[in-house]
Amino acid sequence: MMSAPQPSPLSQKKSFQLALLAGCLALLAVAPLFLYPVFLMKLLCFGLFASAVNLVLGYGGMVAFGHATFFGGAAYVTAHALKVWNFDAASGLLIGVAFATVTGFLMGIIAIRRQGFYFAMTTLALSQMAYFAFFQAPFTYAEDGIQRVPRPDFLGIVPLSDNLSLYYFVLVVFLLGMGAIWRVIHSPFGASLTAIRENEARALSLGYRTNRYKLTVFVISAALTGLAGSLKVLVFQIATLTDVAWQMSGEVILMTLLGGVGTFLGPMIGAALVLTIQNYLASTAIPVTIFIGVAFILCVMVFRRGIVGEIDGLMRREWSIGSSRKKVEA
Amino acid sequence: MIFGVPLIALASQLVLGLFNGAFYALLSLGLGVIFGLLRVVNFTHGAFYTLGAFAAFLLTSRAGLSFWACLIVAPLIVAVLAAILERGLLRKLYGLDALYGLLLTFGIALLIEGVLQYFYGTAGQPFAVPEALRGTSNLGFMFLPHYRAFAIGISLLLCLLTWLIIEYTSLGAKLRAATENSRLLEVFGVNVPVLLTGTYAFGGALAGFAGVVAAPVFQVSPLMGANLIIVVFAVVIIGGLGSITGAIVSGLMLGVLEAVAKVYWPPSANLVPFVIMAVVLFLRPRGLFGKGE
Amino acid sequence: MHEPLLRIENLQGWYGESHILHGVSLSVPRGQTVAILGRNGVGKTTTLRGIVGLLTRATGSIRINGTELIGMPRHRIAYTGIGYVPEERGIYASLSVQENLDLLPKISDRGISLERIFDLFPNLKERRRASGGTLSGGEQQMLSIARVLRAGPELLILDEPTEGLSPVFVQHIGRVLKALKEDGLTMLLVEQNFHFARHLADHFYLMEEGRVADHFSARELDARLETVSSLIGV
Repeated sequence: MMSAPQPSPLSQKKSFQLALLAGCLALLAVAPLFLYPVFLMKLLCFGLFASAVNLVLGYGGMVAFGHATFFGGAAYVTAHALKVWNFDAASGLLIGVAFATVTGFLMGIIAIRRQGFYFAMTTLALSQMAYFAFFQAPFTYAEDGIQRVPRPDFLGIVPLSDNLSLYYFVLVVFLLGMGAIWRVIHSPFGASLTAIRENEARALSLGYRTNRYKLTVFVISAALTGLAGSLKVLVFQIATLTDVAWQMSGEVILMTLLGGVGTFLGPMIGAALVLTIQNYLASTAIPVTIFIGVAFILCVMVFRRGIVGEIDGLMRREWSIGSSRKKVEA
Repeated sequence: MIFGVPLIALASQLVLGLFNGAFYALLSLGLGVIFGLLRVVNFTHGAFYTLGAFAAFLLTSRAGLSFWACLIVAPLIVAVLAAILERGLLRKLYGLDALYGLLLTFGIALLIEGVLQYFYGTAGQPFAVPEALRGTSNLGFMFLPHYRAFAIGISLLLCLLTWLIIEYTSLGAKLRAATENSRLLEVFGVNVPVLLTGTYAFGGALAGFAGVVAAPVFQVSPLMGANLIIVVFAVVIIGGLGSITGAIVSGLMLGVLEAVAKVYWPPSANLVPFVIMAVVLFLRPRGLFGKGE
Repeated sequence: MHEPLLRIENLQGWYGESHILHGVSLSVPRGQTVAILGRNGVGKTTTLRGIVGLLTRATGSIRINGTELIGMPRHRIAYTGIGYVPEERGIYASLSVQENLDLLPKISDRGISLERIFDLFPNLKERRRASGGTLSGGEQQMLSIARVLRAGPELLILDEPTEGLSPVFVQHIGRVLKALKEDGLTMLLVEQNFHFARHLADHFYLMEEGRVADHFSARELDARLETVSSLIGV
């Protein structure tokens, strides 16, 4: 009796993932037909921001409360570069990322000496210092912010002044950023990071220079956050104090939490949810903070794994029921 | 003249510094006590402070209570709310990573502030300085506003009272024991769950009290706690988590240092708490008065 | 009354993820002293922890004066008449000796007065104001016993009371416990020091791999001395 060999659970999962990816790309490509490009771009920027934070929070296992410094800082630098120094889009983005990378390195070196709560408080303290520094610096114009930032063409060829073409540009950069995150997670470096997160003492005893790994992922996260911030400036053509405030750091942590810490798609979904509801609430008199507060409470009390985490958990059960083999890690 | 600044200006700034420092001390005391026993970084503390101020505002404007009555009633209201939050929500997180407690209290703070914002917007509500405390006295080298002096005095008194309770009463002994090893204390028959609720409520009451005292000086607005809480975290870290003395001393010290900075180099004033916090975290993470890591 | 003060039946106990107790059964008659013997790691301390509610999970039955302890909120257990002297002594470093002594809520009016405590433990009287953290091992052990006695327990549970102590302290504690026994206090103790246990206990339980392997009275002990010594590695 001949029977075709069953596809292994691993290749089943892989083809599922590929199908999912293709579907998402298709959706993102046609999305401007259904939703405002500006709103979509906001989703992409914050999706990237949240995913970058997730690198540190979920995969690195460190609660960082200072990422607004990278986001808003890069935004300020890019805004200034585009408006005052007449940079083009590419160099504008680059200088923003560079700023975030350097700042990330500095914050990381100081903060990573401590763990857990003390690490979080250090990042918060440094972020507050940066906030006040930005507030005082003349080039940021304090409460007014840097406004009417131009949108130069990308490398002189791609026009970005139009929202639609900007959308596809942002989409490409977003995909590159997410691709980078994917690569980091699914690499030997990522595997080491997981080992360190799960049992740092053991990793240390095995000879890992754990602080090096933690610093590296922190800097990568800062750089990608900066990229998100610089993109945001291109979209909204403004950089303000809100972008560097600690509330921004908190909001992004919420997005990650809501979507699922330590999952790849979670932060994106969390960002989409938060921004959509914010958008909806903006037209009512209800302050957004109520929603964010409730969301935090629900996440902590009930949905500890976040939306994607819960779904993932459900699916894992399906996979292990369907096959007698051990569950496969993503 | 001291370093180019007239004595009068310096002295009045120092009084302001002590005034702010008194708040820092009171708030970080409550935060520290809560952290010591419950191991929770209570983000809601800022909201308790705001609630205290709003309770005073409502009690005086709607219920006609005197300021003096508010000093007792408002903290009680906050204490009750805090007790409900601890029993209903916070308690469920005790076995888990400390992060969850932080995030929960963060969420609760946002919720409380959001609700207040819904009813009162972001503008401040006026709150008059009580009749008996208006005016200033001429001390020769400076003018001392009566209300500020009162605020400093009563805050320090409350700090002292708290310290006395913790160090010299049997309740305080139970609290200190529970901070060291609460499971064993339960086996000895002490009702630790009630102790935890009570401590959280007490911490909330201290914050609420600070809010009432703040009301006549700072405007009563939903956002008054939000930026203060971050500075209070800095104070607690500098003083050392779990140290009562550390909270009080660091709070006052920081208020004074901020004031001095404001006199000689204004832009640096806001940075002072965080620079010191970063330095302390770098060199001596357990804080100036903290005991062990 | 011939009903034992404490009766444990088929106690299964987990500490963390480990299933340590596999059905322990023992009873402590009123007014008598019972000792649990056995090698390291067999579950002696875990059994005591089970009685006072310190295990992660416990099933079976633990009754004191007929009251079931399993499932009772931890802070109520003391009021059934139990005084616990833990292996690690549990002296609070941030409290003074006097504060440690006053710490426990009274669970009966059988509590020993401060004067009598200081008679039994003169060292503690000298060190009244000292902070718990500055006491020596022997002083800590005495304080650990003393403060529990002040609460007035009916059943005193001691986990390795002589561990790490010099002979002087061991003798002192032995005398104190003997005196308490003569006053009618019921005791359950875990003790590696076989000779110490021998002079105090009326009954012995031998534990192996999380359950009771054997039990016998003090009279039967002499006859079984060799088997016992080999089993507990004396």
